[in-house]
Amino acid sequence: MPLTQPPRDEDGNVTPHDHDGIGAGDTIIRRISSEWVVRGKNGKPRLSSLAFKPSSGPNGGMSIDLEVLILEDELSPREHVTTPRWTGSIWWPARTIRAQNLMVGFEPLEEDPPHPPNPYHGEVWSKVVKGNKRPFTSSQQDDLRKTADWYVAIDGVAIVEESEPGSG
Amino acid sequence: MERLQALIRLPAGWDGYRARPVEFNTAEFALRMLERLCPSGTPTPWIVPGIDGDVQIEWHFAKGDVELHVLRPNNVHAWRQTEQTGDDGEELELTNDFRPILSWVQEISEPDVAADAAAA
Repeated sequence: MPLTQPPRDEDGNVTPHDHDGIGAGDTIIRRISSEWVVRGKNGKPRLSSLAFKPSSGPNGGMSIDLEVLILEDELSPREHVTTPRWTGSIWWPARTIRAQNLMVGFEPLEEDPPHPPNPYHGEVWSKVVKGNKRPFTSSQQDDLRKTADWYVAIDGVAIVEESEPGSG
Repeated sequence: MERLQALIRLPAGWDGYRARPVEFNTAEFALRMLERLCPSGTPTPWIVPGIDGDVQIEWHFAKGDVELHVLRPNNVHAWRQTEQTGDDGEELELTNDFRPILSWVQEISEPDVAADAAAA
């Protein structure tokens, strides 16, 4: 069933919210650019913390795709999240994100050249406002990393850094 | 230098959503910051683009991690995590004085003399 329209401010911008129509078990996908691959303490490739940070703009969130909406349109989620250019992606059930005191909302994006429309786009927002921003805490970023799994993997890259041999 | 030049040339939407390339002024500021932080011998950091024209400089060693998130010129969020700081790490907001970071990077990147001696 299509989601109800999200709340908007007087300028028409979607405001941070936790959407009732996004179910606890719904799959939340986050696209991951290869630009975010670094080498960790163990010398092996892993994701930078930037992959788990929201936009630094006012009311900024972390962009996601809502798998259930893509499936309802009988499209391939894997194809959608790797278009227009190839990226990896990770996923969580919505309940896992909400358990970290974060909100999962719906923010469909209209075409804005050169960007194509993305009617399945959403955002993860912090509930806590600092100034006009909604930064994630270190703990929330760490939890997002630890609870994520690959949706479309980037070969040889870890989400969570493996401990060095003998480090416990 | 080459890495920063590549990041200011990233295409719009490089993250699969609507990310902007790294802002020229932010890249230039990050370069000046690195010149002060990286005298010869300092390990080369990872340089990672943010989605709002920002950029993050990262060092990761067995002894710990240091990340400098350059949001824009004179606005840097610094974070480090070592055995001493615990899981949440230590954070600083910086403008143009990066002296605290010099010691952060040195601490995590210097050879572990005790471990080397034990190994020998």
